[in-house]
Amino acid sequence: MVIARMSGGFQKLTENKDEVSLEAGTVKECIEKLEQIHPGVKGAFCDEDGQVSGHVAIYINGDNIDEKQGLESPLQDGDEVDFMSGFAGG
Amino acid sequence: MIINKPDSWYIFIFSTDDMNCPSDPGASIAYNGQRLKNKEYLEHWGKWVFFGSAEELAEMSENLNPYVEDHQIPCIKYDRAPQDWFGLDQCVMCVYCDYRQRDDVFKILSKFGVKIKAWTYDREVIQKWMPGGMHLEGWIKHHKCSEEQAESIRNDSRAKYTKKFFDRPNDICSGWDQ
Repeated sequence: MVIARMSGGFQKLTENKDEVSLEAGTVKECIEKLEQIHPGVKGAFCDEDGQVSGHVAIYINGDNIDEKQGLESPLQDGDEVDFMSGFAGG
Repeated sequence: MIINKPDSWYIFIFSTDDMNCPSDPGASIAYNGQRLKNKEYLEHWGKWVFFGSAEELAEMSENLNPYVEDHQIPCIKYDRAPQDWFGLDQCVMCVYCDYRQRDDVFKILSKFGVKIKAWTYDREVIQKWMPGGMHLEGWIKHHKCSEEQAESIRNDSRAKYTKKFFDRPNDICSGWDQ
């Protein structure tokens, strides 16, 4: 299981739950699973080409997936995937 | 020491030592007691970022202030109100440190309930404030700048960050205006 955690306004997408536990082997799969549970998540996080929207930052155990393999970044049991506004911390 | 100046968007926490001896805006940019050079700053320096209401972050700042005074956390910055030009509806707290001490710093944050783990290097933020970067272009759009004004702002930004960090890699880092 991995933990998908929503920060700030993104909790609205998951019925105000701050975290969701699910099975996923990659970040892309994590978003797909979230979409199944909470429709609308994928549209909020990804653009029409299926890439991460510019206003969204995704982290695995604290590290931005842009410095890993993006949406194809692998996930392991116990990993924490955090979703946050890309504007935060400017 | 919590530094809350009403004319600043941000509220800061620096150690009293860093504020007073010497009074140097980059005094807290250090690792293991050594000031970072610009190239080290760009490689290692960053922050843990998380959201909260203004009230929650004010309470958090009181909790974290002793750790800053004790130099277990180098410095902190947080919003006094949500940055609506970025579409944010909550305030952001940035807890700065060197990457090499980030796990120790996060342990402190987790004592006070922080769960979100979002590490951002300052080099990423600088890129976002350079021409074409998400923050600078968003700011220009929000403030409805003319194209002439926008170009002037872009040129200033490019000159500021290039001159300050990239052209002088071996200078002691003095941070940048926030």
